[in-house]
Amino acid sequence: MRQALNAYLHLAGIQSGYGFFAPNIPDSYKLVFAFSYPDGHEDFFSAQADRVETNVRLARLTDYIGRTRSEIVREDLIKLLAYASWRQHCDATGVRALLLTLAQPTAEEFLRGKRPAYERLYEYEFSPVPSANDATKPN
Amino acid sequence: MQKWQERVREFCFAPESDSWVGVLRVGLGLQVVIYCLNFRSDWTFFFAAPGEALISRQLSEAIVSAQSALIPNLAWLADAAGRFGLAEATTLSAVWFALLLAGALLIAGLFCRTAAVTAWLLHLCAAKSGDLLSYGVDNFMTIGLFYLMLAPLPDGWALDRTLWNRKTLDGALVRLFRRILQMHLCLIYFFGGLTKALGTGWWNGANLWRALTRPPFDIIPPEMIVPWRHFLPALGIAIWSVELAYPVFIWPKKTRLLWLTLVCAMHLAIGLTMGMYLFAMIMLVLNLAAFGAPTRVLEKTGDVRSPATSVS
Repeated sequence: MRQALNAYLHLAGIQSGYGFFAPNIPDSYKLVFAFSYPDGHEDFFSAQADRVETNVRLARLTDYIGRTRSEIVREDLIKLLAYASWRQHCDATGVRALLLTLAQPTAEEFLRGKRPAYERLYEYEFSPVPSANDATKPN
Repeated sequence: MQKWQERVREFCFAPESDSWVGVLRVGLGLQVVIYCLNFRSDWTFFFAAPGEALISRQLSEAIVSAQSALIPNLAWLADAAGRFGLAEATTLSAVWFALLLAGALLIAGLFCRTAAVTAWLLHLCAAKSGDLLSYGVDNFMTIGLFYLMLAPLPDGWALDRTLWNRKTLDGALVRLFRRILQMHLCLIYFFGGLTKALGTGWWNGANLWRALTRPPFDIIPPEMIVPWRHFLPALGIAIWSVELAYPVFIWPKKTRLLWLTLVCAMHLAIGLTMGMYLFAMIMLVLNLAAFGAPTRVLEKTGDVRSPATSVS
C-alpha cells in the first residue's frame, strides 16, 4: 500500500513540497578537483557547463552532496564525480576533491568591498586503482 | 442545503469550453520540446551507464526504487530494449527522440492522448533516473503532463479534431479538470508563500540578494544589484504576499487579471534574472491554462450560454 502510494505521488509529481528557496536561501557549495601529475603540477577542475540550465542541475547535485549528513554518501558521490572527471585527465596519478561552501557577503558588506569567498569544508584524496577494465578508477 | 449543492455542482461541473486544455497542450508541448533541445548535448552525460555518465543514473534509480519499485525510470526502458538487442546508448537516444516527437505532436494537436501519455512517461523516466540532478521544473512538468494525460482530449484547437472528426468528452469534465488544476495551483502558491513568509530573509531582502548573487543564478553582476538594495525588502515581501494571497485573489473576476499578471511577471523575472527559463515557462503555462485561458460556459446542448462571459 505504501509502495503504491509513493508511486502515485511520484507519478503525479506531488512527492515533494513547494518551499523553493524557503524559508531561507540554502548555502551554496562547489566541488573542485585537483588532479596531480607525475611532474608535480596540479590541474584544478570544476564541472561547468555552457548552459545555465545544466549548471542549475549540477548545482543541485553539489548542494545535495554538501547538505547530506551521511559521510559515506558524501564520499561515494564525490568519488563517482571524481571518476567521471578523471576521464578527462587520464595521465593524472591522483586527485584531491575539495568540497567548498560559499560565504556570501550581505549587500552592505559587498558595498564595503567584501567579496564572495569559498571556504573548505571537506577534502578527500583518491588514487587510481589498477583494474583490467579501467586504470583510472579511483580508490 | 440544496442551494449549496447546486452551487458546488455549478462550480465543479458546469459545462465549459475547452480552450484551457488547448493552452495546456500547446504550452506543455513547447516546454517538452525546449526541455529536449536543452538536454540535447547533455542527455548521455546525465543518463548513461557507469563509466560514461557524469554520475551513474543507477544511483538515482536505486534511491527512487527504494521509495517504490513501481516508479518508472530509464532502466525499465533500457532493460526492455536490451532484450531486443538494442544497446543502451541507442535506447537513450531513442527515448530523447521520442520525447521530442511527443512534444511536437502535442504542439500540433496530433494523436493528442498518445502524445500526452508518451511525453508524461518518458519525461517521468528521465526525471526519476536523474533524480539527483532534478529540481522544481521536473516536478511541475510531471504535474502538468499528468493533468494533460488525463484531461479531455482532443481540445478544439487540436488537429485531431479536424482530421479525424473527434469530439471531446462532455463539458462538465472539462470544467472539473480545470477546477482541479486551479485548486492545485492555489495549494502550490499558498504553501510556497507561507514557507517564504516564515523566513526572516524574505522580510529584509537578504534572501533576494542571496538568490540573485548565488552561483549559478548570478547572471546579473552584484554590482548592478547593489544600488537597488533598498528595494529588496519590499520586493521580497511582495513575492511571498502575492503567493500567499493567490488562493484569495485569483478567483474573483475583479482581481484575477491583476493577480495573474503579478504571478506571471514574477515568474518571468525569475527566468530573466536567474536563468531559470524552463522553470519560468512551466509556471507560466500552468497559470495561463488554469486562470488565463478564455472560457465560455456552455448550455447542455453545447451552445454558448448567453450572455457569453469568462467563467470564474
